[in-house]
Amino acid sequence: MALKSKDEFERYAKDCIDKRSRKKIRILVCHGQGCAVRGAQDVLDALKNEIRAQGLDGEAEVIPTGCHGLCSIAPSVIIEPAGVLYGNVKVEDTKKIVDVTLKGGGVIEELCFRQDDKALPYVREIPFFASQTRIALRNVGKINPYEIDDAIACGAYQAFVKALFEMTPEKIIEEVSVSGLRGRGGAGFPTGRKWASCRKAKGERKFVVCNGDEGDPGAFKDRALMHGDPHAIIEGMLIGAYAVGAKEGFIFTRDEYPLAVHIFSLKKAIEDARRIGLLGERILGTDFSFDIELAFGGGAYVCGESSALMRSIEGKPPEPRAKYIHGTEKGLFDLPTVLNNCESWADVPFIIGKGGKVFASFGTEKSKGTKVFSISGAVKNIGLVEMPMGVPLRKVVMEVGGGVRNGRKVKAVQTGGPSGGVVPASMLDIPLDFENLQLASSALGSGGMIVLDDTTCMVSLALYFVRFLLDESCGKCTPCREGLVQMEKIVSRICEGKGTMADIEKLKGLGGAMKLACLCDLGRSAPNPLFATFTHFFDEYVEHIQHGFCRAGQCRALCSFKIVEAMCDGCHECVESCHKGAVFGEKGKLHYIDKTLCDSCGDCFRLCTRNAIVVEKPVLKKAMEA
Amino acid sequence: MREEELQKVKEIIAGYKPDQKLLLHCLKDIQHEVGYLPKEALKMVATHLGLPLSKVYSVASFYRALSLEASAGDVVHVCTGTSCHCRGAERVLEELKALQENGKDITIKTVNCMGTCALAPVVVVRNKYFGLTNPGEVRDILGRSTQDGPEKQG
Repeated sequence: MALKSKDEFERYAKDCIDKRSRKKIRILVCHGQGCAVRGAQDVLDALKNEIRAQGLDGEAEVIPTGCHGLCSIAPSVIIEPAGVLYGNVKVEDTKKIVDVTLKGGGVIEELCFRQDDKALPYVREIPFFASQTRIALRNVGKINPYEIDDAIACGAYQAFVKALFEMTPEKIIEEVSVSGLRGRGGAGFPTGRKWASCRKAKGERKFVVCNGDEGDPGAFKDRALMHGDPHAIIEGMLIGAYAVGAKEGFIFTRDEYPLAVHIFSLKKAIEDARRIGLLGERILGTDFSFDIELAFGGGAYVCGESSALMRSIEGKPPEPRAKYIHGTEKGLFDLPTVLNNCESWADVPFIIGKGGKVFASFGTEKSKGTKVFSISGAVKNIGLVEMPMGVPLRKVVMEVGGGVRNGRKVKAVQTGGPSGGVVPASMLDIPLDFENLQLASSALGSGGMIVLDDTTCMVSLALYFVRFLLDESCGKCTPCREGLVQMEKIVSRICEGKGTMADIEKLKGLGGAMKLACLCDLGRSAPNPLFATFTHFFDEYVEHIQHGFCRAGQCRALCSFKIVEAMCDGCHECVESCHKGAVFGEKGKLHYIDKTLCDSCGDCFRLCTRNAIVVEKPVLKKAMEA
Repeated sequence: MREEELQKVKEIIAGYKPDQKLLLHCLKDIQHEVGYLPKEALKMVATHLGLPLSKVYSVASFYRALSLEASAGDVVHVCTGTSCHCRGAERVLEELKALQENGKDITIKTVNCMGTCALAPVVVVRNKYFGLTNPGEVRDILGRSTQDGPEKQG
């Protein structure tokens, strides 16, 4: 049954709202990837069975939702309208949840989220949730992403209907320009300007493309959006297509890892939207026609680059084009194309629905609106948050992330993935926006944020990114393909303790050449992580080269470990973890490491929660030789 | 290529319209069904889609999800994203390689971030996720990979 007019849509939306409000209690079980791999489906089934068995079907319903955000307590369950959050829920807990919380209205303390040893049962009390402003993620975790009716009941497609019936394409583009929205994939290009130039471009066909490739390691917001609220993306693309005059759209996503929940969700959403006539020919009885196809990557980081992504959709090897060829004029199949990141598309309905000025009221002068961040690494609370641009990094790490685990200290925060850099702990007060992160030799990128503690070696981290990029370089242009090979050789040499200070100069020269000569942004930004560690952690390079010492205990050739007597409580974990059998000691008594057996792998060092194992500072032999 | 593989490849290819846009989809289907892309299959795809074999090869050899060689034993995916790297993924990988050298029948594949950073370091065996792994656990994991997924908490 396809809806044929604005009135029909409005009646349908009203029915959806009625349907949603029929059940008093909604139990939201997170079905995001993090929870799904930890048994969320079993918990969902068990809750459904329990509710049916206790005859509560009339008033309560259990629904799967997108990512709740707090992946470190997966699987998570929220009970509405009370707003109780339970984490690490197991099938065995479901009966108790129904008995105590649903029927009794009480809370089960042991399933609650804890901060500073205090149980916080309600979502509104938890800083992780309370400090967020949700625009792109407005419906993620709230709706059942597999049911279009649920999305419509929460306001989906209202902005599209407004755009289609009340606004001209020019007015839409103006509104997007007023909002100040800039590309959320990392490049930060003004979205309004991109749309305007595509609208002006001549072409018999035009395309809109959603970039959901999200190749930056440590970023998972696009997947959460595609899974948790595919309708926000589809609606954004509908508005964009109407504004620029496109009839065809593509959503490009990666599926290189097993169990990709977002693909199921996207497929279902597109089918449902077609079924009720929000995609297809003559949408809602107007002259506007538009449809979306799904396109998949095959595991290539370079596909995140817009021109490479377009080649991939065309069935060609994903090699980028030179930047002077604009996608808005010669994009997909050499026709005018607007390509935006998932998050940008999801922001569009809000901008059209509420007005560009409302969006622009969040954020900083040049970076408007909100940004979704994926926080991971050494912090206590790992997950997904959306906050206004310009929020201090410290707030994200300490308040939202809950600080660093195991009593260790923040050393730095990696942002912007392999095109970004590191922000040292001394600069935690910087506001998070495009400009300030660039000033700190890093980048906002797609919002991935990996908090590093003192067990991460910055030289080794630079080597990690060089190797990552070497592995992923498409090989089309020489500076990137060959430059990274040499870079890898030199940085590994430093990690092995065979580097010289002249190597640093070589790396600077090589990186400088790559920044000038590489064909695409991925190549030009490839030296960024290396250069950022030069800027903020030059000491560590000096230690590696001149003192033969890796303070983080990661570069094997440059560290040896010892156990500090005062800290060791003899828990025996290090003894069990050692693959060389090099740690000795009786349970409950002081342990020691036999250096003749130890291969400095660092397993025990990272494992020890008492911080009793430390890296020994060597006699400064290299310095003495010099 | 064995007879049954040939049959599967034929069926898959027949399901595709001759359009270059579908090349990657088609190759991924074959990879999924057969486990790798045999040389004959690439030739058949090229003929069906009306493309030079060189174009098909350039795509087949580009993507990580496609493999030109058959993989041995269980495929073990190791996440090597930044979070996993910082939490010891390299050591996990080393241990797996050591097991492989000692005769364990596995194929190791790395994925540059699976986006399940709360479980770092992550290892996936037969679509089961194992989170918060360490080198010592890898042996156990390969032993119990048929049982349920990750049990450890973050």
